[in-house]
Amino acid sequence: MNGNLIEVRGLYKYFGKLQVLKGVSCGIKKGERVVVLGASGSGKSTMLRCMNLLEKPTYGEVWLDGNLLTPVDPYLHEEIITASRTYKKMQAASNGADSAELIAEIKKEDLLHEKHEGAEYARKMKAFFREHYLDENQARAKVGMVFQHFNLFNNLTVLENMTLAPVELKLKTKEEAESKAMELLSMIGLTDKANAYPSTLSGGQKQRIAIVRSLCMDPQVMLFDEPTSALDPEMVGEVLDLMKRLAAEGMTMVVVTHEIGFAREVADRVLFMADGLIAESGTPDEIFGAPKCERLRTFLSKVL
Amino acid sequence: MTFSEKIAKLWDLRGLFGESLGYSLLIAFGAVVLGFIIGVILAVIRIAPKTNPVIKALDKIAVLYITVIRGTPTLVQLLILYNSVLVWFKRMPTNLLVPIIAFGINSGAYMAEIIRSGISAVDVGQMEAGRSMGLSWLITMRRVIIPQAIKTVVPTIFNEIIILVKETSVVSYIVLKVNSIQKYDLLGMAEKQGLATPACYLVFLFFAALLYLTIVMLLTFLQHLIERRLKKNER
Ligand SMILES: Nc1ncnc2c1ncn2[C@@H]1O[C@H](COP(=O)(O)OP(=O)(O)OP(=O)(O)O)[C@@H](O)[C@H]1O
Ligand SMILES: [Mg+2]
Repeated sequence: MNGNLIEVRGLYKYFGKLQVLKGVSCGIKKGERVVVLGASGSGKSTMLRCMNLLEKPTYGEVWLDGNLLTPVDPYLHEEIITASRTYKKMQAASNGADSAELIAEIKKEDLLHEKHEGAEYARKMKAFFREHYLDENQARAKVGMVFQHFNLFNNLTVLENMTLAPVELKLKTKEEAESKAMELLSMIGLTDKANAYPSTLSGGQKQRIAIVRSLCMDPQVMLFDEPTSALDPEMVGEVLDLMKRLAAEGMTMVVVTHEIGFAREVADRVLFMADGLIAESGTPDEIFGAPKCERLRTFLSKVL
Repeated sequence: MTFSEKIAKLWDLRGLFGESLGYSLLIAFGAVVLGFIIGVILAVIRIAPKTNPVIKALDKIAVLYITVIRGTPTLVQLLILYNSVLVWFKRMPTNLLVPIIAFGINSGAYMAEIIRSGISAVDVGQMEAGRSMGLSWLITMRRVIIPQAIKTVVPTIFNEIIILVKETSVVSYIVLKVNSIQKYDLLGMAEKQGLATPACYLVFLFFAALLYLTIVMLLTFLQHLIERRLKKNER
């Protein structure tokens, strides 16, 4: 999709009646390092978690490397809208109105009703889905995720944490996975912890292991949700250093964080979220040097 | 009859009591294994996201099962199964499976609730981490969640096992057969021998009680051993 590794299109997310995402669209290019900022509750985590379907978007589509991960959102595809009965009826009634206007009205008024749109519409939906859809488990295997609270598997050793998924998913043999894991552990200087259980590790060690656990899957992109927020201050540095190292090696990264320094140093692009939308997007220089929207200015005045 | 004569009588019967203890243990062991398997399966069904109609239907069945089994006396369940089996298979030279299945089905309902509570106590982040790496819900359950859940419910599971071991004494209400020969569980043997030698009845009952107590104490010991072992795994 437009050369983006991850593409989010028209994403809406409701938790019951609460509207958390209000039509977010953004693209992440291969090799790009994107930092997401925003006040608490602005929907940063929700957007990030939609990218690997830990949350299911209510409307909208998520694409990974040209594959559709969500159901088809008909409103995002004109060729599907124009195949609908609603569109045809409106067109007949309006004797020759501009089709763009009709489509805009259908989108705006949410006029499509799956069950009543006829066979052609259904066929188009199905064909589009079949052509592009990728199973969520296959997609997730390509997207690493690092959580605020590490989420290492408590019942498994460090080495088992790292090899479980690649072996279980048959991406690697046990030997391959173990040698890769040991290689990664030696990169972070924790080979001696290979057989330790997570409860014996410090927060910084846990998070660095969580990061290399994801790397063991050879992901195409890594998502980070406030990876340093649960850490004691003296451990934040070691985790950020590892992330900088990944960035330098060319890993595609989307990082939700409050670490402004990290954003300045590492980000190619910063997204500022407010109220369920991306309110501003730009290079760190643009965002921190010349913020355009009022909410961003207010936000920066609080965090800087 | 003097007390020492009664003890001598008990000594004469030691082989029979030993054998009956064996049957009690066999039934309890079989029931625990079966109950545990049923419990895990039911708990997983109960906890599974209700995304498709098959799971929804299975969940309804699981709820019904748990409600009915927990809502009726074990002895009634045993008698119903025993008499149904009598109706369907008239000749059954060995029927040890009947109480094993009855107690297993019974225990499964309790185990299900215990294991379900253990699964709910596992941090949701564990499932999210598994899913985020592309593991399926079921694989994450099996490899990550259930092992952690079992660990937290070891004491409650053992409690259930202990109750079950003692509850197997109600099999003395049915006729146990092995190769067409009538056999007795521990309490059944005490009662049978008590009828034969009424003067010794109380001694036999106390002896049976002592054996149950010993088994329960051994189980408690095993529980502590397992708990300590599981704790060590974290260090
Ligand atoms: N599972 C959920 N159920 C109900 N409401 C939720 C759920 N997850 C998030 N929310 C709500 O959605 C809103 C946005 O949450 P989100 O976690 O995306 O914010 P955030 O920008 O990551 O904030 P923070 O900086 O505090 O992490 C919040 O109001 C939150 O309460
Ligand atoms: Mg958040």
